[in-house]
Amino acid sequence: MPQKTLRFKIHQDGRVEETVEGFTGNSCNEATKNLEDALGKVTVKKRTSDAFISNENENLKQLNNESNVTF
Amino acid sequence: MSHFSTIKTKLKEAEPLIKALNNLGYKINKEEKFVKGYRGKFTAVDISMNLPGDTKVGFKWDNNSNAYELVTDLDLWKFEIPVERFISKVTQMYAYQTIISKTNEDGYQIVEQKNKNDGSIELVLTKWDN
Repeated sequence: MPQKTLRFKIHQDGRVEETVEGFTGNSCNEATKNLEDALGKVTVKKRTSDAFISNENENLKQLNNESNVTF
Repeated sequence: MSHFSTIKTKLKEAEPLIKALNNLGYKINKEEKFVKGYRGKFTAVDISMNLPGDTKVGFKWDNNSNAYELVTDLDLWKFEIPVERFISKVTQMYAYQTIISKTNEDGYQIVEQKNKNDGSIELVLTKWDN
């Protein structure tokens, strides 16, 4: 019985970083489509593997740094 | 599969926008439907607010951007915070309200919420598979 986890960082300017964990296949995209549509416009989207999540905090920081480059 | 997304928040729905304004302590004015905006022209708005002094602020649905846009007369802006900061606060709270309401509909529960030193809000929500 896997646990599904949604993590959000809502920045002061309203930019939202979302991390979705615990889904199989492409169901993670379905899970957040409505929310993303209601929220605004997705500017960056990356797939992460479950192995990748095991060291999540460090990787998340790295992801944040990478995604910031695109702004 | 998991994913990581960055989303630019737009004020797309009235309900979380009104909730966000209320949450930040601003009152909605149900009678005032015109706000003095760009070049002093009165503009019809969908959501109108009460602010101290002469400052009038409203939000009008914009078909081009597909979102609510701020209407105000910047010459009359005598509010405690600059207009850019005001928009940021409203947008951040709008994102918060939208996330809470949409994830609640899907059965998620908040397990962690933190206000960080950089002014951001961190939220963790979980749901167990049935």
